[in-house]
Amino acid sequence: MPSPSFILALLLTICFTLATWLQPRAANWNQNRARPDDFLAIIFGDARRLFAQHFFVKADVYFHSGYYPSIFDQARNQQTHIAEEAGGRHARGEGGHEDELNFLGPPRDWIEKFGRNFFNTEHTELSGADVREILPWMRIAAELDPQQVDTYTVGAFFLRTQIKKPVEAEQFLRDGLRANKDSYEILFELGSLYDEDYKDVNRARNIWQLAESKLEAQEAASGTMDLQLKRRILVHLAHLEEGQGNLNEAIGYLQRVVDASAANKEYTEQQAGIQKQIDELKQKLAAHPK
Amino acid sequence: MNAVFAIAGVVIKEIYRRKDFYVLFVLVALITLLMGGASFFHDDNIVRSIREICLLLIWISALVIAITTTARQIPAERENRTIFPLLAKPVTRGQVIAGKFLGCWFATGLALLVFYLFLGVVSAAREHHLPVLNYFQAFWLQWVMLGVVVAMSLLGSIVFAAPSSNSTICLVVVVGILLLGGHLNLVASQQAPPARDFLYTIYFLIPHLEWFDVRDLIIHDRGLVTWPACGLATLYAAAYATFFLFAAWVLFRRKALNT
Repeated sequence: MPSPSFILALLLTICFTLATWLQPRAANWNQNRARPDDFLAIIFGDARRLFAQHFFVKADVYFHSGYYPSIFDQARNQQTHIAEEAGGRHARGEGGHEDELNFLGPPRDWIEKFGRNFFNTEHTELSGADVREILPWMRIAAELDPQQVDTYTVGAFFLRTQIKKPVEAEQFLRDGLRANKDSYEILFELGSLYDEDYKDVNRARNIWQLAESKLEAQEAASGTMDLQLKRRILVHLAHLEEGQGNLNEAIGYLQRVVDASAANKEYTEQQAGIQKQIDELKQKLAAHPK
Repeated sequence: MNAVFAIAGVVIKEIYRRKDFYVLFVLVALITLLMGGASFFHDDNIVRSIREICLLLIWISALVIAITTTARQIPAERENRTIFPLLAKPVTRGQVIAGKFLGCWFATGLALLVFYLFLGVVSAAREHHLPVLNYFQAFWLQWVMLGVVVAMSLLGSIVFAAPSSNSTICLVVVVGILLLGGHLNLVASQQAPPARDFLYTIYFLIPHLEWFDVRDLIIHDRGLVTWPACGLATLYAAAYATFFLFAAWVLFRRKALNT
């Protein structure tokens, strides 16, 4: 029987040898495994997308101060109201949004009637700095599902327009852009930030042009067209060029808006307005030729 | 009446000697403070999400305390055979039921009061104002609702064999009512006749505990519930609690106590 100190020395040697043998392999193994920022992905798997959607809706609920349809009386509208608000995709005057949120209707029985004393039955929307209350849910939704583009665009929209924090909005958009390199929606919002908040026209132009090229590349790849956003990008570019005195470019962009939506009856009314803007720009150009 | 309060006093002492409340309180405080310490977009004035998390944890903790505490009262007395000297005092079975109910309800109320004080302190520290009446209404309505839950759980402790099964069933029923109770009429209206009638019957039979959940009003600063509505809700809860207690007494009166 060898002495215990010899066994101890042998074990120590084996440990050291194993450690030196395992170290380079472990380093390599760590590279192939998820990084610490993928922790949520490991814990939740694909369920994190469901949670992310839940928290995005939660932000919408906060935006309406708790006045929100339950899953039982929710309209079959895929897009959340907050996203519509940020995207300017509904017209207040048309009453669509109001009708949608008039989900309660008359009470069906005394239980429902009396129960309405205990929750918010009045539709209001947060405004100004109060919109900050939606931010935690936006951040959590983005952490859980970095591929959900709406989270970044909506969060950044409210950060810069209501809470007046363009730097944080830009940071949030850039986080989104790192996770979604080809997102023309995020690029469009980033361009708007440069144009409206930083007044940096050149960068805004470059970013919007990049957004348009990304959009066209995706159109070519998928065969589907996001006409609404395309129109918005082109109109914004046209207004930017008009502001810079580049009337020919502005007319060119507006003409492309008309051409892009010529076949779509949904935009018939807006087409007339765009055509009127083109005519005005042409008159201006004729009056002051460069 | 003295016997009832004496039994209630014993229940309250038993509850504050146990660790359940302290563990839950530390958990609530820890999670709320962690959430409060997080900074989102460098904005330190965000408060609603903290209130929401804290209130959710308070609701979960209060339900767990109320149900688990009540569910083990009578089975523990039977198992330890302390029910025999208790009934030999003399104390009637009705007084035992009433005493156990009052003890559990008061103890839950005390725990709830501590939780709401903590919420008030956290909220006031962040917002620099405290809508006391709103918090009082939320506390009162939740406590009244817990009265129904305690009475239901007491009835369950006589019907079901073990406290664990009683706790589980009560928790499922209460959470089910809180989440779906208010929508059953809507679901029923979309069903064909046999299912519709069944759902409507359930809808009109169950205690509508969801009324007492005014968390959204607190979270979003939406003002007070009208006092008459608050009073009527209290009467409604009292009626259901009385029904459950009466049913518990009827069953307990006929129950053989030797296990």
